[in-house]
Amino acid sequence: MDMLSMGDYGLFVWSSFLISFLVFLINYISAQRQFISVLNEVKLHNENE
Amino acid sequence: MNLKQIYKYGSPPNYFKLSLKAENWFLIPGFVLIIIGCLGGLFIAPPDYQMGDAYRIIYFHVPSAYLSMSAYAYMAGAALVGIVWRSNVAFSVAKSIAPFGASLTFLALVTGMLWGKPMWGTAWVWDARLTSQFVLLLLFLGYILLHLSIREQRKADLATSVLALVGVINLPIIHYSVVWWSTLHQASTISKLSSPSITGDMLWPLLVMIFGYGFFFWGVICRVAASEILKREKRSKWAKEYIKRLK
Repeated sequence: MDMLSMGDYGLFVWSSFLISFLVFLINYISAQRQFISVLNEVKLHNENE
Repeated sequence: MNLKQIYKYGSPPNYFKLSLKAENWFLIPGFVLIIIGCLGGLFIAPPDYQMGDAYRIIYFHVPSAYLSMSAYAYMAGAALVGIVWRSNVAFSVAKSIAPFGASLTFLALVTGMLWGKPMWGTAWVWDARLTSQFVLLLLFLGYILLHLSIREQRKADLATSVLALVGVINLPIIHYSVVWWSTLHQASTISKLSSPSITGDMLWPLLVMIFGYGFFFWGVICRVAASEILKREKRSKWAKEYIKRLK
């Protein structure tokens, strides 16, 4: 429990960890989704030609 | 690597293939290093004698701050290459860096506020370091918005590249702000590796996190740049063949 409370600074330390984790996760997921969306766009473009 | 090979990888199809291949070379080590750095920084490194455990925010704040500035430098470098050689690949890389760069700058500001609140008694002051870092966020956002606001690709690339290059002036201001002005923000922790201002027990997780963030960043940029190149080259023969092979 001492580790989690971080000497009463747990809120600040764990918030930093959580926000960093979320920012990285969002960037990773959005990169993958962007690639899939471009693939679909190019596929559609090829089919319409 | 000679100039001919550089030109070879500068072509859109080769860069596209290389980016997709390189993605996991960066992402996997990045992920592993971040886990090791988190474990080291949050659980193994000793508490600071003045700040206690609050200083552990350094393991998220410093890597994001370093990388936000590096990301801007990479973006401006790619923009310069794009302008000089009219390279679609370079413009694509510059455009791909902006969103992640903005996220990292946001992260540096937010984690800094989370550190500042218990240590300084305030989350924000308009001192030179915080203000110049905030300007960096505005530069990234300005770059993204300018790209969105110009319909013609070439014009958008040129206008945003000029903005990126002008904004480079902010990087030395951020770095030296704690030297040139009296700031609430502390001086650099590891400006010189030979004489860092923290002990080795605290330093190694920080270095691991910096490298981890860097690797992860490039892993994501590889995928985003590949998307951007494919989008720009959708009418080209290689893009059509790539899509055909996927079916």
